Amino acid sequence: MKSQLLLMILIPMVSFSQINKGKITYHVEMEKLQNEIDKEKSTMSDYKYQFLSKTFEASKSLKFTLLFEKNLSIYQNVESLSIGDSDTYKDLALIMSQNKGSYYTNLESNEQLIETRDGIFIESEIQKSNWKFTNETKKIGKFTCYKATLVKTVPARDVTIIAWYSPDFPMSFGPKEWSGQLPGLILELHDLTMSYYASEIDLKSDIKIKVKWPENFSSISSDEYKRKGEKIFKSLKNN
Amino acid sequence: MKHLLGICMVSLFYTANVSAETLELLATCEDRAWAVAEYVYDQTGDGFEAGAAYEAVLAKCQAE
Repeated sequence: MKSQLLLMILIPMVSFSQINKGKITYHVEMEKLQNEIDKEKSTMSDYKYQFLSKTFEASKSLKFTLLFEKNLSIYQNVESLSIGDSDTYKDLALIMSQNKGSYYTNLESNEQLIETRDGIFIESEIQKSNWKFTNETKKIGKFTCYKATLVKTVPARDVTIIAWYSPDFPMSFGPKEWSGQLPGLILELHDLTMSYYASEIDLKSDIKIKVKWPENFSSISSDEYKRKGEKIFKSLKNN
Repeated sequence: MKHLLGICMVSLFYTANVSAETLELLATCEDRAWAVAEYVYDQTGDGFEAGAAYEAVLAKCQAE
């Protein structure tokens, strides 16, 4: 009986550890920001409130996919990466979510590459963030997930980022730049502006996935990208 | 002659009025775009995304 029980526990672990490719689809929402602006409604213009509310509502129609194969992953918006030819609110939700474009991660070489919607390549090492690991768990689908938190400072405030990752999977992939930072696959994430929920997890052995690292590009560092962004914001402010 | 002068005056009046309205609308759109861009920057600290938000709001406002 004991050995049967042990087998029941070990078989899924062995099978998950053999997984080396898959596709995760995340659906998203911006409810946290909506709750915040609801509280501040009296202090902002009606136009701004309405505009932001419509943007947060439109975020629900966005979807992102994470494709991984061995040590490589690519994470991106399901639809076209271009901005400007569809629904403004949806575009703005994409902008506000800071999903800049396609995010490539190589766990073996510890590299990350972001190809932005504007065709800028930002190259960096996988960040070593100061995550706080907890023993708090919850089930997402059939997978046990652990909670990890990280405090990040933005101009408005300090934000606690919450990730639920599953160590059932040997690979540490997840949305955006958070890939490679946690000891398991991120199935739920609440970051600066958006919440991500894994809604489809496809780990079938016959799934066809090929992650191709971009070639022949010139890149900038994340510090340089930040500096250029600061310049853009300052020029807007001064106009 | 008086009639022609009257038409010119009326045309000038409307042109000036439309220009003033257009300028006011442009200023309002820029203010609105800035308000949203500033919000994006405050929430994300990302100047590129703030700039993109500014452009998106401005384009939508001016098209309305």
